[in-house]
Formats: sequence, C-alpha cells, structure tokens
Amino acid sequence: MSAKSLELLYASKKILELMASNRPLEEILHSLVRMIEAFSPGAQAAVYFIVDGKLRLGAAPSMPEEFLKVVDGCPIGDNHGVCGTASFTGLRTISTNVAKDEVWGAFTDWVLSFGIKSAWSNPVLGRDKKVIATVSLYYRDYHEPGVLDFEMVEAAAKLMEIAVDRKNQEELIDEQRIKLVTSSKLAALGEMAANLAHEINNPLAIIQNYATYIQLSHRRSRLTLDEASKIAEEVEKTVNRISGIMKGLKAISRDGDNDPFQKASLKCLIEETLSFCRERFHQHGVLLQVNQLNPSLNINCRPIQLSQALLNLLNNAFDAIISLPEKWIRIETKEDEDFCIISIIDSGTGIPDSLRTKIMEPFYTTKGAAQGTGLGLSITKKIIESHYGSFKIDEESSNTCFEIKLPVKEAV
Amino acid sequence: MKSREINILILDDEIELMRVLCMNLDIMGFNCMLANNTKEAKAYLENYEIDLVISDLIMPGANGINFFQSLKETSNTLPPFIFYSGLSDLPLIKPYPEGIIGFIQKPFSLEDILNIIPEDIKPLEV
Repeated sequence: MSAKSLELLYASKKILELMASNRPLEEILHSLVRMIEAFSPGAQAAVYFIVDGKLRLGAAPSMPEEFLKVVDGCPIGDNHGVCGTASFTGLRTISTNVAKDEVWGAFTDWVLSFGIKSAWSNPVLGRDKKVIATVSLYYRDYHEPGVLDFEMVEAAAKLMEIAVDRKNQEELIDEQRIKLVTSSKLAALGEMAANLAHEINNPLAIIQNYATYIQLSHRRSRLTLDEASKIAEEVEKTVNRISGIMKGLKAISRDGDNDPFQKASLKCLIEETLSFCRERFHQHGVLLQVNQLNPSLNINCRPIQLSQALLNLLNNAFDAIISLPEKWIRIETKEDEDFCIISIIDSGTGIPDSLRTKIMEPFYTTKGAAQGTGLGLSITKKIIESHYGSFKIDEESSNTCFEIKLPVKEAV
Repeated sequence: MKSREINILILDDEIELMRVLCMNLDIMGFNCMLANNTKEAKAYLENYEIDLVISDLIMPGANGINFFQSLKETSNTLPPFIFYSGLSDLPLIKPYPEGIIGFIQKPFSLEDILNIIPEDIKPLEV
C-alpha cells in the first residue's frame, strides 16, 4: 500500500468517526470536501445530492457563491456539465478542457467565466444503484485525473453513500417513531395523566365536604329540605366539572388524525382544552388569562387535533415557567377576514436564538427525560401545518410567545 | 379548651371549597372567617383573635408558606397553620417549620382536619 493510500485510509477513518459520533450531515460533508481537496492539490471540490432530477448542493466551501447559486437546483441531463452528466448517466465524467469539451453544453462560457479550465465528477450510487449524489472537482488549470485521484474519489463516494444512507435511515426511524407516538397519543396522554389528578382533586374535595355536611347536619336534625336541595345543586355543578374533564379526555385520547374537517367554535375549543389544565395551573399558582373570545368565530378544523396542539403548548408553557417567581400564561386571539391568530404567551423571557430551530425538531427536549418526550412542538407544528396554518415563535415579544395562524375560510 | 368561641380563618381563592369547609366546621362548633386572598387574611389576623388558620398551599400570585413566613417575621403570636393542597406531589416537609401543624392533601375529609386540630382549641362538642 502506498503512502498516499495509507493517508487516504486514515482520512476516511476520521470521517467515519464523525459519522459514528452522530455529527450533523453538513459537518461530515464539509470534512469530506476538505479531505478531497487535501488529496488533490489545486482542486476545488463540491458534493451535490440528486433530488427529483435536480442537483442540490451538499457542501462546497471553496466554490464561489455565484457559481453554487446556479448549480443548486439545476436539472441533471446529458451535457449539463460534468456533475449534471455524471448524475444523469451514472458514469464518471471527465472534462480536461472546459473550452473544448461538449459536456458543458450551454454552460461552457459561464463556467469559463469562473476561471475553471478542467473538471470531473464521480457519481455516488445508492443501495438501489440509482445515482443519489455526485462528487465533483474543479481546477483552474488543465488537469487529467490519474489512478490516485480515482482511488480517492471512489473512497469519498463510498463515504458519502454511507453518510446519506445513515441520514435517510435516521429520518425514517424518526418518522416511524413520531407516527407511533402520535397515533397512539402517548405524548398527550402521558402529560395528561399527570394533569388529571390535579384537575379532579379540587372538585372531589368539595363533593366530599358536602357529603360530610349532609351527614353531620342530618345527625343533628338540622338539615332542611331547602338546604339539601341547594347542596344537591352544588354537588351536581361540581360533578359536571369533573365530567367535563372526562368527556374531553375521552375525546382527546381517541385518534383524531383521520377525522374529517368540521366547523368548530374556536371559543369552545379553547375552553374545552383549558378544562384539562385550568386546575393544575391554578394549584401551582399560575395565573391563566384568556382574552374575550368571539363566540361566533368558527374555524374549519379537526377539533381533537387542534385541541391537542393547544394543550401541548399550554403544557410547555407551564413547565417553562413553573420555577419562575412570576407565573402567568395568557391566551390571546386575533382575527381578520382571512386568518385567526392564537397566541400562547407565558411569563418566560423567550426562547434563546440558539434553540429556536432545535426545539421544533422531534425528540429535542429541554425538559428532563422523565418529563419530556421532545415531541410536543413537532407534533404541534405538524398539526397546524395540516390545517393549512403556520406555527412560529414570535420573536418580537418580550415574553415567550408561540403563535398559531389558521385560515378562517374553508380550506380548498 | 377556650371559654370563648374558637375562631378559624380559612384562606383559599376557591370560594366553593372554603364555603363548604366552613359549613362543616360551623356544625362542629367552630366560628369560621373566610379570606379570599392574603390581604384579607392579614386583616382578619390583625383584627380578630384567630386560633387556627387553614390555608390553601398555593394560590394564583401567592404561596401559603411564603405568606406564613412573612407573618412570622412580624408577629410572635401567630396562630397555628394547617395547609392543604391539590398537588399529588406535595412536598412533605418534616419536621414542619414551627407554627405549621399539618399538611393535608386534597381531597380531604373533615376528619382529616379534626385529627390535626389540637385538643386545646377544640370546642366542647367535638
């Protein structure tokens, strides 16, 4: 084995180590490009994915932005440059002289304008032998690749195949995990089980004390029929509080994912959702404020799903502020002709920049493992998007504010 | 045993529960005063001879223990406190801080409360 091959082996090992330690794909591709460039002096390397017949930029830290802007999204095809052609034919494509070679087609002058004189591209085949990506090298002189170049790019292609494969597998696993959890409503139910005791203990305490009163009062022959009837009314009212919770629980634990869209009052929906957490908020000293809700505002939705999305946000808000000295959660709704906006605001001071994207990802949680599944926000986002709406963090707000925007008119 | 009526102050923002608890304690011969918030409770404590305080542990914007502690700093003749709470994960601080004679979890019965109330502040009847 030549010294160069050994070095290559060592460099490949480094990249494999990055994959093994679950580094982000961008970082792996970046290192891969740097590896290629280190082994082929004078080359500027790029890796592209092939998505729906188009080139998509993977990584090319040395290439000019103007160049990448055009290549990214460019359809693959014969004579669409070395990468377009290599992706299209599945064959290694070499151009030792850009000015003369046909492979550049209409792109010749444009490529020359970047000072590129020669280039070549190696396809990366996926499991089903389809081209999933390409590795390309560009030179500012006339370069003809040799055996060592091929050996190196073959290694790079193999590494890229593994990296892409891993990424796909991970996405698949995540997707299936989400499906599993959403469809069984484990996430919502888990949170709700914890809530439920709080919701029910207070009305139970009231009922229990009324029962005691009836017994005591009766024993002392002090209970009048009038009084008994009043108490019965109070007990009934309190029982209704519990049965409201149970009714909602029954509804939400059902899988609402395939429910048809229906007109539902936003006011009722919010109030029903609050019945799951009002008591718990109360008992932990969290002030809950809801602005005046328009009783005639109906939205076209899957009510159970939407309620679940709201509950996720309310539970998150609760967990986030529970240890703060100032504890409040506010629901605000706004509407115009086309949209209604539901904001869930809490006394927290916002989500740090560095976490804003992360928290929307499945399985990312800032709560302890026992407390959070890391699914709440990604499920919420999915639900809102399936309602043709948008879901975002309001960055203008000085408090933590999540905003749901839903179309009011019937979705087409 | 006291010669006069025994005054219990109940502090809770949930009026329903406070009212029915008061009805029961009333039958048992106690005299109840109801405070909806800590400000009201403070006024009762300043103006009446209160023998016992039964308070919700956590209310919106107020924490029963904090309230108790703040009273303790300014008064050395504070009546005993009993706290109740709907939290199933109620922190059972033991031994209780001096002046607190019990924590009860909701739902609770009258008996749970009577069991904690010291004999010397129970009316004859009990």
